[in-house]
Amino acid sequence: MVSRRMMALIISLLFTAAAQDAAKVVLEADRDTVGIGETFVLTIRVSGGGVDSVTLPEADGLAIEGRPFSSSTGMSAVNGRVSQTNVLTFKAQAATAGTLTIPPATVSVDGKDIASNSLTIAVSESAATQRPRGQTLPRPTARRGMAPPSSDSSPEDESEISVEDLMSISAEVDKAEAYQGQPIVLTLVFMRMTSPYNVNPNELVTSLPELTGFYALPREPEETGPPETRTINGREYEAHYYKQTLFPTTVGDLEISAWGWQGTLGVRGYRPVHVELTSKPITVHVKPLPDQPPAFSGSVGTFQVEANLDKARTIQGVPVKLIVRVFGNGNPNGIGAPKLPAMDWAYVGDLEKDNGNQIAGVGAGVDQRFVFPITAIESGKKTIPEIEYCYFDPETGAYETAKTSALELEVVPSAEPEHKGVSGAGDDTENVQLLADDIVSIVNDPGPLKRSGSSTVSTSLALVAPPAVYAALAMLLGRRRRLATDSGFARSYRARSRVKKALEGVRDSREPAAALFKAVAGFIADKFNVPEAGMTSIDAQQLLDSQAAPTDVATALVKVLRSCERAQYASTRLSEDELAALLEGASVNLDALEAELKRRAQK
Amino acid sequence: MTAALVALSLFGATVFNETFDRANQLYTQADYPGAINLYEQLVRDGVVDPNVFFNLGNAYYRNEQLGPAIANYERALHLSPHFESAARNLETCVGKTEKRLARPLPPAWEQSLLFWHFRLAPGTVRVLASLCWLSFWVVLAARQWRVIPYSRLAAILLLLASAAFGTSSWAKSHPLSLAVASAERVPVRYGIGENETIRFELGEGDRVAIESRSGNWARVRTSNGERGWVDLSNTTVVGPPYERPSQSVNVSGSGAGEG
Repeated sequence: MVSRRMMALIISLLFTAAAQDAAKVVLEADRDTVGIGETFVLTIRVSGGGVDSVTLPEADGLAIEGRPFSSSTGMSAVNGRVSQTNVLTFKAQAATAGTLTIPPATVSVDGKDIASNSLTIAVSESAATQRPRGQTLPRPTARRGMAPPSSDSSPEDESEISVEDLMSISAEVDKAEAYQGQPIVLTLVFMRMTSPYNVNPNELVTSLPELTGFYALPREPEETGPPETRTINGREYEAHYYKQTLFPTTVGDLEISAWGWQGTLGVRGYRPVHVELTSKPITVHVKPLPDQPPAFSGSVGTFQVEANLDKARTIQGVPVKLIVRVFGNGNPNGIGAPKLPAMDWAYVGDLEKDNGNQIAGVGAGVDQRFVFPITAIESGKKTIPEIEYCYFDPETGAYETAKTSALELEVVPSAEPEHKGVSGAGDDTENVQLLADDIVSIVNDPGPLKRSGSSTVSTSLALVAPPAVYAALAMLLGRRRRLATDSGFARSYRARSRVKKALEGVRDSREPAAALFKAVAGFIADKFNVPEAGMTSIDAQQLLDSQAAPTDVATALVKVLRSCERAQYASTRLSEDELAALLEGASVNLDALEAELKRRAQK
Repeated sequence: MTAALVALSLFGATVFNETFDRANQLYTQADYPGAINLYEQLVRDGVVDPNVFFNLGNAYYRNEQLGPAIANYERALHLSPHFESAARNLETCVGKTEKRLARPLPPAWEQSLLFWHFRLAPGTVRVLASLCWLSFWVVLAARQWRVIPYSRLAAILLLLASAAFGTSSWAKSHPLSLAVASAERVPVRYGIGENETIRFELGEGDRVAIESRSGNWARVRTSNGERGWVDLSNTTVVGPPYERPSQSVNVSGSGAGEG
């Protein structure tokens, strides 16, 4: 804890000492002589305090960019004194020739305005011939200089290394002679030394080559791939490649002008060096295309074509899309549309260009689609003939023709009226004419006109009535079938009508008691499907008990049967009153028994 | 009762035929707006007859209203697919449209399952469906009565035929809802409202399928598959129901309002 407090105290004292050190501002230029319009670097070094604000010098014929393009801050302790240093660099240009005196810059350091020194530089009409100060570097290992890479000298030579050895630029094309429209690849090479010096370039201005007479893709060169490492004379360089594809638009000798680079090179341990580099201009001889055949599409390069339909089957009058794909190498913006062969059976709509797959960036890769709406006006199996695509191949120096394969299209007739009156084919829409221009006249005898009724009722009836009738019929027939085949069901079903008839005949019978007994016993036998013959009142009672008939009903019916038995065996006739009572009791209880049996059947 | 209904029906038929004849008379006198009014009145009174729609289409055509003309020929052809004169006149009208757009296709299921029914009239399909349905139940009832050879197969076939004709009948009574552009330029927008961006434009007479409706706006689809929203007041909806075009004709004929 004590040591930390001590350390804080020491640092505080050191900073106090630094603050008490007198602040100093120095204005520097990176060269003594500049050309008009040439960019040079003004450096403001501030030591002994922090920079609050900077007022740049103003002079006639001097233009300084308002914002520094680089700034750095550092602190150092020498003999116990801490010093803070700020370095600000600005781009500047001189506008008039002669001697240019740059007045002092004013810097506010920790609240105090401090003026720098003034500078005087010479401004010449042309670009400066004088190399920037610090253009050569001493050899790092106590030697005086380094050898340039272009000479036969080895790195062991004692000569100095020039700025061109630290960094270089160049331009090259893949062919010096080409046909009009033929792709030419322009490569800009940028190399910086990485060993023994690791050069850090700081770009100020890059002027790209003028490409008059060329169509360029992309508009500006693009770096292709990672940098390469090159070794030249034992020194290592990092090479960057920027490429651009050029398509000559005119014939003759076309010049690709030089490209330039301005900036500073930084090497650790040395002051930055301002450099200006330029490449050599290139001349390309562009030849005209030979006599063009009529089918020439206008495309120069190497191409392939293929065609397909978005569907192989369509309906008459409904368009399909014929997609013709042109791909290969050439100018993507110079690809002409393929010409379709005549098709008498179809109407070809306006061309739609689909650039969805166009290859962007460096190179001359082309992948373009041309979409033709094809509307069949006839039905049947139709053939789209081969589509030819004529282009100029600069490699062979001749016109070539690529072909698609023929396509089959099945056209089914439409419910829509056929386009009988339409004639014409191909993409010439002007030829499409209606042969019958007027209309068929009105109908004079339509037959009796009537209001259209609601179809809901009739539809519902048509839907519901047949199954309802069928259900009733099926029930009827099912009962008939059961009556014919199921004797128990038939006896039970007919028991009621039989007993009703039998009871009605009891009074007229010679033996009313026997007739009544037979009627009641017969009903019970029919209902429970047992033999009627020989049944006694005891049998009936047992049967009713076994079938769990209601006790009161069973008792009443058994009483009726016993009364009848007594009358039969006693040879006495039943009086009218007794017979009426028995008939009434039998009728009521038989109804009750039937109702009970129906209720059970429904359960 | 029956006699009274028959008499009423005959009386109605006579009245409608008289209106029809008067409309024809105006048409021959080149009073197309008057003829249109009378034909439209018949439609409004519930007369759904392909001949009325055909004559109405002709009157609109002569009145230089291509959109309603095409819509009425479509109606006539829907009711009577073999109406050759309507087909011919429709072809003529479509030929006069700028884009000659094909009629939007019905749904895929209808094209594949009911490919056979496009040339059948709705009434024919309805009768066939009813006959097959009735026959199916008769065969079933007969099988209850006695065993008939192949009656099971016949019943299955009749049931399938009933289903097919029934589906066809339903499809005929719920046809693809078509709208026909009735103005020279009908904007089709990205959304509902006049402030929405225009996606594309329909020319007069272009037919589009109505996919959904929201108030007086409809989401439509062309035969090319392009979609957007359109104000139906600029179109004639084919129907059913058979509505009069929103853009009314300039009535100057003597038959207007009669009937």
